Amino acid sequence: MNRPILLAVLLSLFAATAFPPGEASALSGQPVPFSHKTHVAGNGIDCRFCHIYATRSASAGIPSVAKCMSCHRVVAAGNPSVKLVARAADEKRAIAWNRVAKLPDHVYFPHHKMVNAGVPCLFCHPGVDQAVETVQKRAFTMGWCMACHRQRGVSIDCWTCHK
Amino acid sequence: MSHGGGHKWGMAIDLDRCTGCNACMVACSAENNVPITSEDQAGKGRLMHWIRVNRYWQSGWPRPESVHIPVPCMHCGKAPCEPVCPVYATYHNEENLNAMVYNRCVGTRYCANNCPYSVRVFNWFDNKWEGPLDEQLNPDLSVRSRGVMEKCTFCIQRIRRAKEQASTENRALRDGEVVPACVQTCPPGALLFGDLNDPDSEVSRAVRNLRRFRLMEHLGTEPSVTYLKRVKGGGT
Repeated sequence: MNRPILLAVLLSLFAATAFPPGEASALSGQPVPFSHKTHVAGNGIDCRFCHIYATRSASAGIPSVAKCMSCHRVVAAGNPSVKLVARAADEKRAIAWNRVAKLPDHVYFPHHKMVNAGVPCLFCHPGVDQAVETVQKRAFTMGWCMACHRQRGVSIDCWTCHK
Repeated sequence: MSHGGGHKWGMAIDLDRCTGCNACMVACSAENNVPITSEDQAGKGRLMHWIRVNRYWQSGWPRPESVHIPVPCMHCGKAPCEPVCPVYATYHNEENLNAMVYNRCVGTRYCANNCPYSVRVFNWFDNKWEGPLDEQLNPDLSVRSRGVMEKCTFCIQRIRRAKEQASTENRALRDGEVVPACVQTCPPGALLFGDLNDPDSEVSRAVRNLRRFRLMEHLGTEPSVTYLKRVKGGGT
């Protein structure tokens, strides 16, 4: 056996033990590599198709594995990432996605109020439609929230958002 | 709601109905992530309750009688706690609420010392909730850390939620829709909460009752909580 092949085998063995499915992969920081670019920019899926609670709840919601599989039973079923999702679906197991857009504990942010007031998702989550790896590019600073609230004439009372 | 303009939240407490059962205190602690203080700490004046029930003995044995007065934050119109805060951590908002911003608080405790009702409580320690109690913490509120003053908010999270519900359904807030935890849990219905700007609300009707009085009104604090005096009498 020549050297490069041996190295490749060893590396793949290492990868299989170091990053078993369900653990965060080194590439994406998520248990399953997920590209918003493929879904949003590539296939034109609306944010609210997956984040179904954005218009009616404080939390926008993470799609269930069943929701993923409603398309992926057929679409790109051979993709290795999709296979990870399919396995989770077969095992009736949720995928433990890691939170990317973080807000402190003392802030109340109702997604539905913003979305229903016509604030585009990309206003707070810029570039997420083009992101291969999900990152939060906009820092959620209070001054930035306040500037928009002032401009739109929305309440800037502390107790509107702080809890 | 018939009136124009904003809300002016207020509470009415009917002492004729209060039995002194302390359910309001329990409900408040559960709703607002208020830490439970040990007897030892309570003895040092570190008891943490956002609402307490004062007991006054009226007569002794063989016919002991007492009056119970639930005391939440009065949300004073002219609150003595507000001007003494050096960091503007407590202020008055547009809806007549005496608001507290935990992140601004540096723990001088001037506010609590200037409160004639002693309703402000201080986090002397980082409080821990032993399992499984940590599972029942209310996610609508932050857990306050050590060195921070806290007090009754009239359940601002519930006010917020009711408003959201009303705006989602594109209608005005109805009377009785905002129910703080203490009001919700009171078995004899001694506590009432609502909008004092709405002359027809249940609380507005209650505060016009002839039995009305307010705690330490002579201080000029203009409390938002009105009490209805206990009238001793036979029957009903």
